[in-house]
Amino acid sequence: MQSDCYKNGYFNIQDIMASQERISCKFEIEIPNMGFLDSSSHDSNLKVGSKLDLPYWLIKAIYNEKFKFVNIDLPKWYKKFYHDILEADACVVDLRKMGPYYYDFGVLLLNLVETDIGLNIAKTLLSCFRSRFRRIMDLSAQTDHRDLYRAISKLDYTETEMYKAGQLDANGFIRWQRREFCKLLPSIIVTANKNKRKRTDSNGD
Amino acid sequence: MVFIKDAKKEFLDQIINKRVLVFVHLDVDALCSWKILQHLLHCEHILYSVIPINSKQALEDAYNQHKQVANNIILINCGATLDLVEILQPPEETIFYLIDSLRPLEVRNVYNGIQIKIIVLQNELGIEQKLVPEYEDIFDEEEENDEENEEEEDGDENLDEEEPERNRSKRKRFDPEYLEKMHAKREWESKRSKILFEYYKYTYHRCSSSLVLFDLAWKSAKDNNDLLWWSIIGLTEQLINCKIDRDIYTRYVVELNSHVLRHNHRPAVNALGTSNTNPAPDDVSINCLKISHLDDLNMVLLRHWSILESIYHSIDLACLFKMWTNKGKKKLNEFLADLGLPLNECKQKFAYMDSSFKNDFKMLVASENIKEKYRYDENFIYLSTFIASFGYTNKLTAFDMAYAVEALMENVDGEKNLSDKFIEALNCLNRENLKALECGIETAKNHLKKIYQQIQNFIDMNQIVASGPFLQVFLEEGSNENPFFSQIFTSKKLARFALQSYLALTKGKKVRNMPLIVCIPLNESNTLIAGVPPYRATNNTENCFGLAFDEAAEKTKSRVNFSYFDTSIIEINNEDKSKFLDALVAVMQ
Amino acid sequence: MDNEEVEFIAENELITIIPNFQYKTFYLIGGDIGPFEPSVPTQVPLWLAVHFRQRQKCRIECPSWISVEKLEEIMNNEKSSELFTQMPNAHYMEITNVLLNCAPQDIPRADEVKTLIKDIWDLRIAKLRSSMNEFIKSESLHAKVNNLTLLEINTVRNLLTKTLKELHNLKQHVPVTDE
Repeated sequence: MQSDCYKNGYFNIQDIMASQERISCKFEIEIPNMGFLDSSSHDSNLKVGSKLDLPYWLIKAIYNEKFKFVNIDLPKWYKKFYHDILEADACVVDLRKMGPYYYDFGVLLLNLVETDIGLNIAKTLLSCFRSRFRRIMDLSAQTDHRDLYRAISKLDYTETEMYKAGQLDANGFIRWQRREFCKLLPSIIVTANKNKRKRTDSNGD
Repeated sequence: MVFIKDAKKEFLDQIINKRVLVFVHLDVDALCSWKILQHLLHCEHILYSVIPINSKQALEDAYNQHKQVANNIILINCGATLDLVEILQPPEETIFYLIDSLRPLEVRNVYNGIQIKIIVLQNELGIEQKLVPEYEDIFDEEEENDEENEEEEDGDENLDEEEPERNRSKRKRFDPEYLEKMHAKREWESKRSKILFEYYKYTYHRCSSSLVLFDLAWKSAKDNNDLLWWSIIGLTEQLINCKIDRDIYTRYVVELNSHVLRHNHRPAVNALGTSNTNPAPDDVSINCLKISHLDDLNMVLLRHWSILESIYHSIDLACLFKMWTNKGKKKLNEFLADLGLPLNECKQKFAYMDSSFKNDFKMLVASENIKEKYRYDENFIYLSTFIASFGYTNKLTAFDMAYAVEALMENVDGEKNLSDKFIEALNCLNRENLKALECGIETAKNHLKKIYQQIQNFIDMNQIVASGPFLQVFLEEGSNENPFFSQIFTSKKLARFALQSYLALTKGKKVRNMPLIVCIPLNESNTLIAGVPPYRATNNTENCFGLAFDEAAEKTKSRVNFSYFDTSIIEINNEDKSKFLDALVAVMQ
Repeated sequence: MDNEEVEFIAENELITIIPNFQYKTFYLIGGDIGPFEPSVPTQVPLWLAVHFRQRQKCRIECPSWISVEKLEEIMNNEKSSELFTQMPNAHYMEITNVLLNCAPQDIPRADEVKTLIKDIWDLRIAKLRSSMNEFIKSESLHAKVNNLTLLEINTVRNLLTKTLKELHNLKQHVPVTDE
């Protein structure tokens, strides 16, 4: 099952960060001159059976379904145990702890696993997203974010983006109601430098 | 004469589509007038520049700086008593529109029909015209023509010069017709100087500028509740600074009341009518300004202070109880006890007092036995004024607002230049700016406290002395509060308070009718002298010091600067002070 | 789209004023306005009505649907119905906001009107939220909603579009099964 890497563009920060997540893997063959990757060994070559935590983008480059140079160990957040937890009640789970890029990374992972495991992961992601939506919508409607730190800290990056979008809507509405757009405000640069500059003619024009 | 008969046609319609330059004097009445005028200018899309000014020199400088901006210049509460054409040297197309409550108007302004126009209240037009001397009595047209033909300009302001005549007189010296003419002319001249002396003798005030502008707005159908409120504040300031008498004030209050009723008419839902405690539910939003007439107690800033502090700082009540003596303080406590108010309630802020006490307080103060015991009458304790309410919490009387705005303008704390104070005071008048209002009221309280403290000092150290025909009091040099006291209105307030308190504490008959001057050192070389007229029940608003100062200065050749528009405040060089004061004593005998 | 832009669009609605001046017809690109006679009711766009009112050149006649009785009726309808009911004007919120801000004296019982409009607004937004939630949960591909006003749509625009985009990303990897 192929999924697009770099869905938002090659330079998209979100993608870069998501693909930075590490996966634990075991090397089945020896790789010459790659010994520096393993900080604990002093060999110039990478030995068979060395277990390393490598970032996703590196593994994606060397992963090959047929030859299996590396054996990938799925991060525990995407294993069956957590699937059951998410199915039980997705709203209380702390997704930020489970990797701040839970959804994005999950989608990227689908390239590295077999079809049926991948399908499970995909389905879980989808249902989890759907059930958490209500919570995000309610959170974003509240405009004082200081009280919500605890709740927001449990959201993963994608959900935080959605929360911010919702906040934009809510704050925009309040600004409109208070008619704050009617007031002309001086730019920040002007007010910061106001006391430093001398006002040449203070009489109104 | 240049009094405008139809302000809408001759003023507003003339400045539509033109650029306007406005000079506003720094006093509450002028600020309120400016707010009203600003509204009118906005309605007609007239571009304007506004400049606040404080003194004659400031007017000159500002005019020279900005004169190319506009050909139509409006002056509010400044400049009507000066010969504008002479001082400012305007180009020929410039037209000045004067709105001023200060009198007497400079006669040259009144008779310059081309460049100067004066706006007064429509129904007072006749009276104003009568107040100014007749043209024939002051200006001799023949003389003027001769002068122009001879081109004798020696800068002298005297219009009927004898110089041009002298050349011709050599030929005609013994001509009997000519001698008769000279005799008539001399008579005419002496009559003229007498008329001018009588005219300029007293400075006084007439209708407030804000009322004049409100009248204009009303006649152009552009008036609303806000403008009405501002004109009420302008009128109130005139009473606070003793620019007008109580009866004149009451007359204007009645006039304004008709406007108030017109704008704030509420159909009574309840057929039983409206009582003060249960107003009928309004048709209008709570955020709209509502004004109503109120007979309020003569206690300054009552709603923002405790009763005790309010009575302490109200000039009339403080003098009634002689608050600076211990006996006076005891009498005050007795008074409060008679009203049935426990002392700790009186020390609480009025707004937080028990409501039963609040309600009784107003009624009891007017009860007969109390009035008899403490010897005051109804007019003394009650003041007719207006109260405005907007939003859920804000109730302000016109007096509160006037005090607050004046305090912000005469505030010396912080390094504020004229424009800053102007803008702050304008913000205070703006209803939406509650913070500025609170700040203003707090500042007003501070100022009142300072004045009280100073009066206490005067009384304790017997600094108010009678010297000849007037009383005088000196402030010490180097005191921190001198910059505060040396401002236009504060100095006068101090003088009035000092005069009233002195009269309350002394029993001499001679001092009853004496005016008072106060001398405040400005810096090492200059002193400010301000004079107030004697304290009388009626007609105490005519100030004779303008002319007296002038004469005394001339006699002693002192270096005196009449820097403000109000001629009863002067700046004098310290070295000339004593001889000036001696001359003043002689002049005023 | 900003709420200010929505208000701008709403200001094109016609409203009746009673001018106190006289002027000939305006020929504007969008249409003709006027002529103006004192005390003769004229229909003008809202933006022009506000402009005149602020310069005290007219009085605004309150639209017939801004009355306490009518709004109460609308609110009851809205409460009892599950779907969105039709509003008296497609820009009810913007127009009342503008009028209450510029000419509260021209609207009878302005405070009650303000409260009622706010109640109606809150009701409809709550309905919108719950229907959004249903839509996301139900895994359907499209939803149809009638009688929503532009401002209400604008308050959920950012959130809804972003959510649907993320949903699409995730859905791509789940083949559609016949259910």
